[in-house]
Amino acid sequence: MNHISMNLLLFAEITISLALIALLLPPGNGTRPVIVRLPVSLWALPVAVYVIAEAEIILFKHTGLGYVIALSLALLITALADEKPAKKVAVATAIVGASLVQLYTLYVPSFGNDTWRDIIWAAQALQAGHVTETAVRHSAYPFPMVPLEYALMSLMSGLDPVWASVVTGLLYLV
Amino acid sequence: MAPLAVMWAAGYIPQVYSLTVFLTAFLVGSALLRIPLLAAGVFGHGGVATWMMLTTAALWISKRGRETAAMLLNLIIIFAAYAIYTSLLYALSDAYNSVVETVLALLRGEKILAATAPVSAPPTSSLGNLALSVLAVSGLLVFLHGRGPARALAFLSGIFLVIAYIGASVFPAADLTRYLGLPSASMLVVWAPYGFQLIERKRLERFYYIVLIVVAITGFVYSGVFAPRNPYTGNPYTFSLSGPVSYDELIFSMFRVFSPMALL
Repeated sequence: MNHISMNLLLFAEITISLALIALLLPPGNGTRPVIVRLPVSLWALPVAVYVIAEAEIILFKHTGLGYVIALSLALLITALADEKPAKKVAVATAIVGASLVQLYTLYVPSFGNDTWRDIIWAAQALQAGHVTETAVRHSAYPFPMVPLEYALMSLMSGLDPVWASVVTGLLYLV
Repeated sequence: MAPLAVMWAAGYIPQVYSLTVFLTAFLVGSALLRIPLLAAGVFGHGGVATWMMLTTAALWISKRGRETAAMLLNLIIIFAAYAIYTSLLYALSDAYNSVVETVLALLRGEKILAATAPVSAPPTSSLGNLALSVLAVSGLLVFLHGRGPARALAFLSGIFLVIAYIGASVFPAADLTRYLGLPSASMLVVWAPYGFQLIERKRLERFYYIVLIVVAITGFVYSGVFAPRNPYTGNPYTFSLSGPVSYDELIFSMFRVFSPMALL
């Protein structure tokens, strides 16, 4: 069996190439980096991305190339815009957040094993009224902070633990 | 790190919880507020807590600040107490062994195939990791041309990223990319603007600056935002929203019988 898979080899090659270019390029002449100026406010970008994605979903029942291109361009323009860093971060978060919200309206978010374990743990903790006296246990988490967080949010907001997890994820992004 | 932002929003795992709390602890000025944050981080995930201790130690060695020393001491006390009085110590000793075994296996020229074999992803899925390449480059620039504690942190994060990479190739089941790679990449994200500033100042910035940003954005778009059933990615194992969408599907996917659930 090969030690390094094709993916890892590609990743290493691209990283080394980029690093080599960065180290070998001659010093710059001190000019300002490229700046993109939009005729409208930067806040139009999240709305534009959302509208394009929604239109594609209505037409094709899934997001397509238009959304991918719009998202890439929106993020590139945001990165190169002549704005304060805090505003750029806020706009980029809005772009990604709008994409997530819109995808969540169509599909339940994709969860891995760990997230399902934490959600089920939270649900059991709510039933048992105790965070560790549950059927789900894990030696690496003697005091389960994340299930406790889901359980508390679920208890306070009345949301299902699954949606408590989704809301936590979105809040984290923001 | 951009693609993982989407994955995190969809799957808020204990590592992410712990990492968020620790990064906040770095920013908090008050020691009174910092102690509960450190405790929550340690309770959240033992592996990330170990990373935090090493990072804080590196920061203290390079800076020798009194505040950093106090933070390191608090962290060690909380971590030691929690690890000794709970079952965490067993889990952690296994994890530390995995790291040592991974490095030894690389030196011996072996490959450890314990536990589950990794699912082979198509070569295009490495596109999703390109943001990490950009972070590695900016980290390298910070290490070579930066000043102050940034250099030490960039160096340590770079070393952890290399170990995570070795883990991914030599001992995939140890999942070092998640335990070491994720927090280290996050640390490099913090220093990325500084790295870009160094490119601006020292290099042929106008072109290469854009190349790096385009590479990072391509990686993000490829990996994070494709909806299920789109015609461009059919792979449920990449960091995208095309994974199992319900618990039943998760069970199916374990048997490698994946069928996207139609919710429309």
